Amino acid sequence: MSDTSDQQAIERPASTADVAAEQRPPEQQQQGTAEVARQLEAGGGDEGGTLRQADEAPLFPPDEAGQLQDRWQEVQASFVDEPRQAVQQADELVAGAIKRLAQTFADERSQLEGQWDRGDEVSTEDLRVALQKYRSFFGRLLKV
Amino acid sequence: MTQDTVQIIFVALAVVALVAIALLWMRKRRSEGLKSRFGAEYDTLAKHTGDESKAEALLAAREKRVAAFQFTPLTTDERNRFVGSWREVQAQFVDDPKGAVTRADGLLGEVMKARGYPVADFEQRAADLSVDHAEVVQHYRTAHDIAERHERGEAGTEDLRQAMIHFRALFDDLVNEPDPAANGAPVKEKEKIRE
Repeated sequence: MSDTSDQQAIERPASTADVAAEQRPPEQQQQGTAEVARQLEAGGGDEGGTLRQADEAPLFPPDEAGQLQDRWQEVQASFVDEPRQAVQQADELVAGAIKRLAQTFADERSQLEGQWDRGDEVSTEDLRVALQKYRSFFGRLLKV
Repeated sequence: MTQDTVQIIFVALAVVALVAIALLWMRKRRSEGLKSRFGAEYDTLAKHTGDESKAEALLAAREKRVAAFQFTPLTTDERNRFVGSWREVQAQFVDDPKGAVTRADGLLGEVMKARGYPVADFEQRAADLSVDHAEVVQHYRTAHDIAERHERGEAGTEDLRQAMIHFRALFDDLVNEPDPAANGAPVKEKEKIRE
């Protein structure tokens, strides 16, 4: 199983989400997620479309994903010449990608926070919309 | 015996001696020429046949055979295509080491065919290559040997990796060979496959 899933990871960075989804064991905590996912699939009301869009937004911008892909190809090809170094570099690539992901999520979260945490003057309507955005974000996080 | 007869005999002997020396000298020159041209190939063949003169005869036959080939340099497109294919095969090693080695061997065969070598079995190809690529043909033999050992379960991933490197040595040589039409000037960008 690991061979094919690694191959998929090489071809489509977004598919790590699929791999993670496959490997996630069913747990009590996950039921909440399943509900969230179901709600997202169903797409409640008008926000359904936009929520689905936000949910499916790629984790890395296309040009960055492309660069990472190219870098991976180099590392993989270099294995024949320097196996150990290739594995070292693969490790660094993966670590870098994880860091980048964490940064992306941290930025998004702080953006969300900025939209509602402005003191007592926030309307209920603003808070409602904020919660929907958090739900969408949460859904994305759980898919990784 | 008359003096004339003695003189004739001496002259005849002298001529025979001169001819013998000339033949021996030419033989030695040919021997040295083959040794320098074929290098290690000469030594292995001499050891194999156990007889230097037999080895020389075989090598001379090879030279003659290869002299009849119509070699063509690779076009830039062909070269780029082959280099690209090699990169792919080398990357594929990670997923399928044995398959990659087999594909590398196949790719080499294609390059040889594109250059003008006739399609043949491994031994014949190695023999043909040895005429103009005496140093790298040893790499070819070693790689082939590793592949065979792997068939028998006697070679691991590291050995296969070495086989790839050996195959690549020959590949580089064939793909970067100077164009005779350009008066032996090397291909402009001697692009090394290794980055």
